[in-house]
Amino acid sequence: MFIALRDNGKRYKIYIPRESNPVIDGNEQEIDFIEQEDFQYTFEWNGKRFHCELVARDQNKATVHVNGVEYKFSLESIFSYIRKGMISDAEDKNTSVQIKAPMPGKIIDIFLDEGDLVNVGEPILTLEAMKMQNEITADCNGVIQKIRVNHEQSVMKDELLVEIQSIDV
Amino acid sequence: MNKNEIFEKRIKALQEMEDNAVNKQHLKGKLTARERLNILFDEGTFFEFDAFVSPSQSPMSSRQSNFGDGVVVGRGLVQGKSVFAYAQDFTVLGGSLGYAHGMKIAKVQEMALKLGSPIVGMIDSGGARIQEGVKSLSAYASIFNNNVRSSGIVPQISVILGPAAGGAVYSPALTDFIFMTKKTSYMFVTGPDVVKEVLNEDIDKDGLGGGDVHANKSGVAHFVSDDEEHTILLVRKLLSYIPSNNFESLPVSNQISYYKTRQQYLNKIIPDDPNRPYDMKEIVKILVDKESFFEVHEGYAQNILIGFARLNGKTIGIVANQPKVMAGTLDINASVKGARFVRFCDAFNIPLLIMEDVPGFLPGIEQEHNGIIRNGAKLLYAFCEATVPKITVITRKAYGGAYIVMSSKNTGGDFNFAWPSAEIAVMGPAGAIKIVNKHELANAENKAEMEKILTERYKAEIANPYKAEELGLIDEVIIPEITRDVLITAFEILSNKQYSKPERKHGSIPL
Amino acid sequence: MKKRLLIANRSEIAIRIIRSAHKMGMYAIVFQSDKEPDALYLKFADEIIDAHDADDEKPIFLNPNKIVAFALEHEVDLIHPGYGFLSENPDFVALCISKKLNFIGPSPELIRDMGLKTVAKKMAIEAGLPLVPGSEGPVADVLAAKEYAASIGYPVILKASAGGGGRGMRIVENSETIERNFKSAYDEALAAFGNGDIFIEKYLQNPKHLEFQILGDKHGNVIHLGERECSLQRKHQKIIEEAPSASVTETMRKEMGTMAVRFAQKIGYYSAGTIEFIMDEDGSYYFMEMNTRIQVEHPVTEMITGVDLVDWQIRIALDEVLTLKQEDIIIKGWAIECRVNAEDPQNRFTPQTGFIDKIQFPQDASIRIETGFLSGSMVTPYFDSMIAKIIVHGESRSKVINKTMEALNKFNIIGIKTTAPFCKAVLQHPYFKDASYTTRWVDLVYSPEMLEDPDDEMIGALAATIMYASEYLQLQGDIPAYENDALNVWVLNKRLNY
Repeated sequence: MFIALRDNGKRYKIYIPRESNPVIDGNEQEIDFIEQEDFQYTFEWNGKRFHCELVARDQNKATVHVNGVEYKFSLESIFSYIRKGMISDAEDKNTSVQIKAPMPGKIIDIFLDEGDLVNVGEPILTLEAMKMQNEITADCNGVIQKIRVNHEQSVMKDELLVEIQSIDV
Repeated sequence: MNKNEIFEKRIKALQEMEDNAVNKQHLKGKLTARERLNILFDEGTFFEFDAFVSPSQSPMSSRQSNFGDGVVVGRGLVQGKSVFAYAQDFTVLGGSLGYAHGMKIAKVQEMALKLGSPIVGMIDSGGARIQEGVKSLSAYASIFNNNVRSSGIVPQISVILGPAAGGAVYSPALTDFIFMTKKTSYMFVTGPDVVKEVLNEDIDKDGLGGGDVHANKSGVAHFVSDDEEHTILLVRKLLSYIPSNNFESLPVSNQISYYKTRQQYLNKIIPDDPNRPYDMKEIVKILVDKESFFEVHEGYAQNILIGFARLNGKTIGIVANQPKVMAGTLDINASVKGARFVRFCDAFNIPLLIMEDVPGFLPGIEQEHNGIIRNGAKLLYAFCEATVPKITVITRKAYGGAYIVMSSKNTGGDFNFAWPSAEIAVMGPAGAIKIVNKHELANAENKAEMEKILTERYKAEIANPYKAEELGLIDEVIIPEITRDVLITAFEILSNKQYSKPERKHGSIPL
Repeated sequence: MKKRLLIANRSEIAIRIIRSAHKMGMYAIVFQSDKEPDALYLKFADEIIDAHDADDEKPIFLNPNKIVAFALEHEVDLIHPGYGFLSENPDFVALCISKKLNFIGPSPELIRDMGLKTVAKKMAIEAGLPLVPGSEGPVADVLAAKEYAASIGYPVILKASAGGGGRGMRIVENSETIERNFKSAYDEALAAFGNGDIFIEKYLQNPKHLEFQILGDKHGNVIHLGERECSLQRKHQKIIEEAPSASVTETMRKEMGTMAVRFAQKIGYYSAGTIEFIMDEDGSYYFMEMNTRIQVEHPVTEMITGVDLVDWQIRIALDEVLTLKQEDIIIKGWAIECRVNAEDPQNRFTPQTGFIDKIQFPQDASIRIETGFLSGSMVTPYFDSMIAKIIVHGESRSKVINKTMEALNKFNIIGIKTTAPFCKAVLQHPYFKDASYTTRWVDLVYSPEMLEDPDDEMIGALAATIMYASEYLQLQGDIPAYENDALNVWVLNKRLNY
């Protein structure tokens, strides 16, 4: 699992399993690898052809030309991505964000694990309260540090549910 | 307490120390000592010893949380190769070097030497432990001594992942390669505080001795990377090129591929205009196996390129002039950069490929006053001393003293090739005609026209590579596009090169 | 006896002219410049003359004496100059004629006259063509300038009579600033040319560039082949051209075409030529200048009329009569040409040089490719940056735009950045689609971000990751990519005690 971070801030979470389609930002994409010659790759996706050329690579920084247009990426594993964030705002001491239960209820679904990367607004778990299902979402971008509750657990209002290690500046 | 209980208690203590370390280090964007070693070694192969060594001085020795005395040592496999390593632990007594700590390191160094294995040191330390006084300094001395005893016998690699100050920098300085990370490691002999106090120079840790400074300005660091994980993976990459000791055969890669169609590009890459630069790195990348060029000292003295590469799967060392930077002239920094690398390759039997395009040594007061004479001589000495197979390819210019220095025939070059675009002479045409044809120029009606004619004549009669070929100083003038094949054959011919060394303690290389 | 035609040009136009020469049963002879010894066009020629121009200041194509000397030496009958280089250099043409070489193009007098803007404009007035409103000569002083400007309406442009290149030129938006601008223009012109005379013209802020192709023979017959719109320019360099123009109605075409023919006949023009018009936002158009050569974008006209302009240039040079009548020229369908230049559209169109690893062109009946480069060619800094022209023909404008997009998507070049992605961005832009684009489009509308595509970006991220992952996993993996004969026992006791 890698993170491709573009120089304009855009980031892609990419997982390349050996035998099946790549998973990009959580969605499996049917991308076919048509041709590979030296550092030119041709992909086909949604009926469109993409000609990619790997122009330069310096350790983990790559410059790619896709259909003649240049994009620059830096490639990280999840941990080096987080460490990058930590080093850049070394001044901020505790960047742990706590997500608390907005009301008493029962945890009926947990979508993510500890160590997972999460985007702001992404649902982490479902809290059933007063016959309604509430999605508890992330308040920031970061990594799930600790999930303090279990499936079917009853929680009180303001009880600590999830701790996220934030990477927001 | 029975035996089992003591055992369990100790394991628990180690676990607690590790958890504690994880929390502290991760917050700073760093890894713990054991995590680093686990990245370095193949999974599950790290065998630690001396984990329970205690600090040699109380009250620290009586605290359980100081097991190991701030350094983790052991052996593991790096892609199947046996490697010894030590990693200092900043979370235990600030990683400071006490007597026990130092002796642990000396122990692994001795084991590495006994077994002919490379040794990797990961530095993350506050320096000598003040409380232990002279004892900690004596531990350092043992370490430095071992560095020198092992030098040229087993590869020694230092990875600076935190502070390394004062005396602590000397072990890395004696090792073969130094790796640093950009924002989280520092090396300096005296820190910014003392510098401010004594000299009133204002600078922070990163500015005085951070990764960028040592990679680009001082040349102390050979490799620098953004992140610890990348840095340690680079160490693995380096180890895949070099043998484990100075008697072992070089590793041979089983993945051989090269740029077939790009070989023709070599015919076109040298510009017609001799004053136009081109990128020598491009030529190197096309000649060697695909993506196998691993550059060393990338940011320092960029007018010379050095690094490891593979040719037909076999490791070679590359020393090349870079016409793109400072016209490829040799200066003090470039000479020293090159000399050190040549001597490493010689020590470990790595054959050398020299790609030459050098107009001369950099002139100037700064160079002369800083000893270009002494330092340029280092590169010359290194080449002459080296007994590994040496093959030179002259792509364009090769003038004067610089031509001789870059492994020319009579300094011991085994094969010397030249491209048709080569110009080999005492000096370039512009300067030469002013001296040799002084009269013709003075009497000429049209000076520009005469210069042109004389330059042409000089190039045709004196500077052309065919002249050198006739004299046997160039073994053959080759078309650029067949260079790769020629080199593979040439290195294969030289693979059994034997040498005999004269009886002496060691030469006196100008330092 | 087969006629011998020398082409004093290179790259795609040389190949184009060779095609016509061969069609007409002639020998095609070209020059080999030391600056481009492996060029593609050499492979199509019957004879190659080694120009030996390595040490010359200029390449062979800019050296009139050398060209003529070689031509005489090699018993050449006709010379085609292509476009650019010496094609509009009257002295060169005069030299050719004086040595009895048949120059394919108009006479040196016609070239010289049309090269002088003042003469061209005078002829245009006499032929009854509308000109951009302006003072006929220099204005006497600031007051006269102000008066005149008020009469033709702001914005106006002040230009130096004695020279160009932007010096002595000022755009004036309103009457408040004209005095100050006049003074500074005058001073600048005086300093640059020794003559401070300034004339005034109406300034068209957002114009379209239209041009009419004409063909004339040496017997006074002249026809026009419709218009081309070349408004997509960057710093006065055309990048996309189309024929016909969506802004020209049938009536206008008749009007402007008739004017173009009248103008050509008035000056006695023969061979191929182009009359340029500039069109204001309100649809009013004015004569700009005349180009006395075959132009880069001639293929779009050929695609919609079915007429081979280069063939006719050769015939006209051989004194043949133009058998095409105006009523024979029928415009069928639409054509668009995209110039693929070696320039980086993401970075201010910086010229690119280097090695073309691979170049692949789309192939289809309605696509015409003109190029001087192959996989393995080098792009050198010595000549212009054009690598290829992709010309597409179709039934209607919208169909052609789609076909051209398809063609550009199929086009692939590795090793050099080009303007191909830029052309794609233009073709998809609403102002191009609705044909409202003007010569200011690149300045006012274009930004490099337009070239980016979110799908492309994602695939790029994937490609970069695959590349990195394979090395990362290789390095991290336990299985080495190398073999190592460890031979141990501390390498056989240090190779048996050394």
